Amino acid sequence: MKFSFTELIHRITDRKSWLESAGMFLGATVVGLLFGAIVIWSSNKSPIVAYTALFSGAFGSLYGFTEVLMSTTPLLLAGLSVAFAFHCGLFNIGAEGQLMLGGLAAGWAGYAIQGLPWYLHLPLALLCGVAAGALWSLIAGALKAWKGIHEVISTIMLNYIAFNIGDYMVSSNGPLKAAGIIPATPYVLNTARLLPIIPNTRFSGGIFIALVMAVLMGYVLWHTRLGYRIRAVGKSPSAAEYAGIPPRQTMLLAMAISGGLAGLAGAVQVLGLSYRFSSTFSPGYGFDAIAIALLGSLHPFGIVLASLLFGILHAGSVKMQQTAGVSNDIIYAISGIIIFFVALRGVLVNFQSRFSHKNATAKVQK
Amino acid sequence: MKKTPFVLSILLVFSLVLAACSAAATPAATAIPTQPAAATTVVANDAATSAPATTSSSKLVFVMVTDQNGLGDQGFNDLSWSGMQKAGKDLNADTKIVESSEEAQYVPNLTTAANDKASLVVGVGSLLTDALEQVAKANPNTNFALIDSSVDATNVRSVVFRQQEGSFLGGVIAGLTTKTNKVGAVGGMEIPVVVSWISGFEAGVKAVNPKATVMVTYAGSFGDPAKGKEIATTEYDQGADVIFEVAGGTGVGAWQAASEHGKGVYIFGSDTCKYSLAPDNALPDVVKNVDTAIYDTAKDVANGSFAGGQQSLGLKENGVGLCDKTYQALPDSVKTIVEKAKQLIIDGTLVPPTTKDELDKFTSPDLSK
Amino acid sequence: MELSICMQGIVKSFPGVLANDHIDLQVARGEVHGLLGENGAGKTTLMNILSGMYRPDEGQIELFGKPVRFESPKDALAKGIGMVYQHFMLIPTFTVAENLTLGAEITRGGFLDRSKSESMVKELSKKYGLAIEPSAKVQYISVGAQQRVEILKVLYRGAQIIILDEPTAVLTPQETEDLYQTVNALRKAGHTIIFISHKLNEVLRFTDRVTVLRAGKVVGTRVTSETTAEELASLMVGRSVSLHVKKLPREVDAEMLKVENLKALDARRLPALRGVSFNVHAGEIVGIAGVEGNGQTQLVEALTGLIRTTGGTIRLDGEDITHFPTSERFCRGIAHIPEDRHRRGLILDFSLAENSILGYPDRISLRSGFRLDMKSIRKFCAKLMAAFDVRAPSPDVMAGGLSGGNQQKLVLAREFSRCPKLLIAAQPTRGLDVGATEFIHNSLLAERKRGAAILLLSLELSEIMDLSDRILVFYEGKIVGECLRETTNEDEIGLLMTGGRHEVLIH
Repeated sequence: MKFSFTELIHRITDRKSWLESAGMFLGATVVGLLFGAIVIWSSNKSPIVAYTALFSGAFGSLYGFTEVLMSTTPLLLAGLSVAFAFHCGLFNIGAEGQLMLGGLAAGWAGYAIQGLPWYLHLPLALLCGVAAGALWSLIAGALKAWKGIHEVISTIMLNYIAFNIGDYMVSSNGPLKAAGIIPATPYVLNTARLLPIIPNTRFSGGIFIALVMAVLMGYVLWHTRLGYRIRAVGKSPSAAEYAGIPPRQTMLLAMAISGGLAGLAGAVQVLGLSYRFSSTFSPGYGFDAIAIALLGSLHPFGIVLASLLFGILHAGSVKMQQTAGVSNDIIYAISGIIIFFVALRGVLVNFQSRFSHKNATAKVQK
Repeated sequence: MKKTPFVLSILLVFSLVLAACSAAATPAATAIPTQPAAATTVVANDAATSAPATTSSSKLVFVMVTDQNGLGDQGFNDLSWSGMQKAGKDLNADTKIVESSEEAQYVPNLTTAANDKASLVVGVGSLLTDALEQVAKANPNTNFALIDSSVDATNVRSVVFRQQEGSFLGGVIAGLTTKTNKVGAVGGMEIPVVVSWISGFEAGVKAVNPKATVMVTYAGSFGDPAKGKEIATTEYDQGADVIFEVAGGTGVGAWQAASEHGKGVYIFGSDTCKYSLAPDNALPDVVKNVDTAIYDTAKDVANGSFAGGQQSLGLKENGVGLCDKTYQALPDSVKTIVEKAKQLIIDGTLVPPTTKDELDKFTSPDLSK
Repeated sequence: MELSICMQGIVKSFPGVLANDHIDLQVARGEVHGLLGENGAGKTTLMNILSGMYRPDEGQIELFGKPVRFESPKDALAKGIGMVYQHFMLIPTFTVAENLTLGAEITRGGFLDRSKSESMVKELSKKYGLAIEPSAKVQYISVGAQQRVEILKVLYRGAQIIILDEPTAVLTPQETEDLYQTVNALRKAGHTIIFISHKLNEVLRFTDRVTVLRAGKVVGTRVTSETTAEELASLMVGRSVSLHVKKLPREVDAEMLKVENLKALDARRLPALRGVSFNVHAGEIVGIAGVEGNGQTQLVEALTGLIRTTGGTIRLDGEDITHFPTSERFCRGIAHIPEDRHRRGLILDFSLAENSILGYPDRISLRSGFRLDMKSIRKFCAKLMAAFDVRAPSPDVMAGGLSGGNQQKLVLAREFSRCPKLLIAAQPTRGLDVGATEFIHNSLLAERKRGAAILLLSLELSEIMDLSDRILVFYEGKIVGECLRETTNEDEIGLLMTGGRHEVLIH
C-alpha cells in the first residue's frame, strides 16, 4: 500500500477531452458557490445579496475589474509555475517560498541598484526575481536528481527557510529593513516599478506579463523539443530514459523554470503593486497556485480561467464584506470546496476504473 | 504568517483514500473535509443600503479595516470590533468590518470604505500605517483613525498606547512569580509595537528579580497558533515557568501549551483578559483598552468634535492596565509592589523602555521599599 | 457423452464492444477442453462469466445438467467451478499452507491449526501428484510451484471444474512439462479442465477437444487428435497463416557488435553480468535463451547505455561505445525494441505521433531547431502506420488506447525506420496473438535480409529456435552455451537454460 500525490494528480488532470476539463471546472465552481450560499444562508444572510455584491465588486466598475486582474496576476504566474513542474512529474509545493525570495530579490534590486534608466532597471529587477526563484527551486531539483529526496518533502522544508530569510531581512534589525514601523524594504525606485497604466487604478499591466508566460508555456510544452522532453520525463521516466532523454538534467531544468515562474510572480507583485518587499506580501499565492493548477487541468488556458476565478473571489470579497456583511472567510470555504471536488474526482475516477475495467487492467499488466 | 496549505491537506487525505482503495478491494474510506478557518460571525446591521454620512439627518457609518490576521484572535482585533459595535449601538450608527485577506488589499479596502461615504474609517494595527496614510491623503474629507501607529495628517487620529507601561507591571508579576528564575516571551512579528511590549516586560522582570533570565522568541506571524504552541512548549521545556505572549492568534497556541502542561507553569497575554483559555495557569493579562479608544473616537465623530492628531494612552489615561479578575487573586505581597511600580510610572519617575537599546540602558528604582 | 458444462447463447457486451456474441460451449465430464483465440476474442470474458465474475446479458448455463446462476465467484466456486488466473493471487510472505487455507482456515478453538492444515495440504498434493512443500513461504518458491498452489487452492475448495487462464505464459519449458503431468493427473481424478491459451502447440498437446473463438463468436470445435496446428491457426485468425517462418540461409557479413568480458550489476547492486563475450554479424540473428532473471535484461540495458557497466567493452562496427550515453548510441545505429513496451517502449499518454519520434527527437525537427514540427511528425507517423499496418484512427490518438499488437507494431515501425546497424529485440512478441507474432517475425527476418545485425532475446524457446542463426544460452549472468541452430534442439537448450541441474529448480 502506497500513497502518492503524483498518482492522484495524474488522475485529476489526465482527461480525455476539453469538454471533460470544462465540465470539471464548471461543476466544481458551481458546487463551491452553492456550498458558499448555504453557509451564508445559514448565518442568516442573503446569499443573493452577498453574491451580487461579490460580482458587482468584481465587474461593476473599471476599478473593480482592474483589481480582479491585479489579484489574478500572481495567482496565474504561480499556477503556471506549479503546472510546469507537474508536466515533468514534479510536485513543486515550494512555489510559495520561491515566490517569496523572488519578491525579495526584485525588491532589493528595485531600490539598491541606482542610476539605470527604466528600460534597463525594470527588466533587471524582474530578472533578479526570476533568478532567485529558479536558484531556490534548483536546490530541491538537485536533491531529487542526485539524492532521490522527494521534492514534496524538500520544497516544504525550503519554504520554511525562505519564509524565515524573508522575515529576517526586514525584521527590526534586518539588513534590508527600511526605517519605519512596517517590516519592509525601502520603496523601489520609479525606474523599477510597473506603474499603473490606467489612471485612478492600480492596474500595472503585470497581467500581460503573466498572459505572455501562459502562451509561452503552452508553446514550449507542446511545440518544442524541450517541452517534448519534459513531458516525456513527466509521463514516463523509464520510457524517457530508454529514449536517451537524460531524466536528471530534464528534471533540473523543469524545476528551474518552475521556480523562475514563481519568482516572477513575486517580482511582479512587488514591483507592480506594493513597490517594496515586505515579509507579509504574499498571503499564500504559492499554495493557492496548487489548487489553480489542478482546477485548470495543468493547461495554461485552464490556469488562466482558474486564476481569474480566484481573482474574482479575492477582489470581489471586499465589496461583499462591506455591503453584505459576509466575512471573507467564506471565500476560503468556497475555494476549499472547489479543490475538494476536484480532488474527489481523482478518487472517483479510480473507483470507476476499478469496477468497469477490472479485466482490461489485468490485460494491460501482462 | 502563512495559512496552512489547505489544498495540500485535502490532497493528502485523498491520496490516502486512493492508497487505501488500491490496497483493499472494497472502497471503505470516505473523507470529510475540514472546514477552513473558524468561521467568525460578522455582525453588521442591515448594510445593503449605505447612506452618505456627512448629512446629520442620516445614519452614521463606521467601518473598521483589519490586517490579514482578522477577527478571532481573542485579542486586539476582537476587542476593537467590540468597541466599535458598542459605539454603533449607543450612537445608532451602522458598523461594518472589512478583514483584509492579503497585504495588497489594504489600500483598496480603505479606499472602498472611504468611497462608501463612511463617517469614520478605523484602521486597526500598525501594519496598515502606510496604506492608511496614502488613502487618508487621497480622501481629505473622510475621517480616519489608526490604532497602534501614527500618521501625520489632519484627518487622521492616531491612537498609540504606551503598552510598555502595562507590560512592565506584567514583568514585575512574572519576576516575582517565577521559581526557576527563567521566564519566556512569545512575540508575533518583530515590529516596533511588539518590541515595546516585550521591552517593558523584560524591564519589569529585571527590576524585581535581577537573577532571572528572559527568553524571547518571535513567531513571524500573528495568525499561526501551531507555531505559538511550539514556541511556548520549547520555552517551558527549557525551564521557563512563566510566559508572556504578545502574539494575537499565534498566542492562542501558547495558552494551549500552558493548559496542556498543567499546573506549575504560568502564562499571561496582551490586549484582553484571556484567563478562560487556561484558568489554572493564568496570571493577570496586560489589557489594552482599544475598545474604549475606538468608542471615544466614534463618539467624537458623532458629536462633531473629531480632530486629527496623536493620542497617547498609558496607565495614567487608563489606556492600559491589568486584567482585574486575575489581578485580585494575586497575593498581597505581589500587589503591593505592583501598585508601587504603577504609581512611579504614573508620576513619571519610572519610564519603561520601548526598544532593545532603551532596555539595555534601563535601570529601575528599587521597588521593594 | 456426459456434459459437465453447457453454455447456450451467451451474450455479454461492454460499452462499445460485443465481447461474447451468442456463444455455445459444451464441455464433457473429465475432459481437457481447450479454449483458443487471439487476444480480444472473448475467451477471458466467457470464462469470467463461467466463474461468476460477470453476469451474462443473455443465455443459460447448465452445470451437470442443471441450470445455474452465479451470483459471485464465491458462489461459482461453491457450485464447483474454480478459476486459476494468469496473475497469481497469493500473499508472498505467507506459507503455502496459509495461502491455501486463507478464507477457509482450519482452526481449533478459534486459533489456526497450523500442523493440521499443513498435513491436509500434504495429503492433497499427494493425491493429485502436485509436488509442494506446505511450510515454504510463497515468495521463495518457483513460479511453477506458485501455480500449483493456485490449483490446489481451488481443489481444496472442492472445485470439480478448473479453468486455467493462459497457464503456460509464465512457465519455463520444464515447468510446462510439469504442468502437463498435473493436468493429466487431474483428468484421471475425474476433474474437468478448461485450458485457455493462444499457443497452438500447447493446445494440441494438452487438450482432448478445442473450441476456437474469434471476435466474440465460436468459429468451431474440433477433436484435438483430428486437427492440425494450421487448421486451428486459420480458424483463429480467419485466414491461412504460416506458422513457421521461412528463413533463407544466413549470409554472414562483417562483425557488427563485439562484446568482451562485459560485467554489470543489477538494481540491488549484485553482479548480474559476470563477464559476457560474444559477437553479432551483419545479416545474422543471434538468439539469447534463458530463464527470466539470468542477466538478459541487464545485457540489453548495458548495450543500450541504460545501466553503467563495471567492466568489459562494447564495440559497434569497430567503435568502442562502452561509455557512450544512450542518445549517442542511437545515433551510431543501435535500435532497441524494449521488453516492456508499456514502461519503456511507449509513453501511453502520448499520441502515436509523439511516440513515433521517441528516442529520435532530432531527426524530424533538425531543420527547425528548437521547434517541434508537429505537422511533419504526424506525416511521418502516418507513413509508419501505413507501412506496418498499425490500426488506429489517426496519429493523434493516445498510444494507451491501442491493442498490444498495434502498440508493438508502432515500436517496430519506429525502430526499423532508421535502418539500424544493430537491432536489439527483447521479447518482441510477448503477449501478442498469432497474427501479430507472424507479422513481427517476418519483419525481423526482413531486417536480417537487409543486413542488420539482430540480437533477439526471448523467453519463448520456440521463438528463439524459429528465428535464430546462432543461440547463446544465459545462466546466472554468464553464457553457458553457444549453439548453431542447425545442430541443436530444444532439449539441449532447455537443459543449458537451467544450468544442467533442472531437477533443483523444478522442485
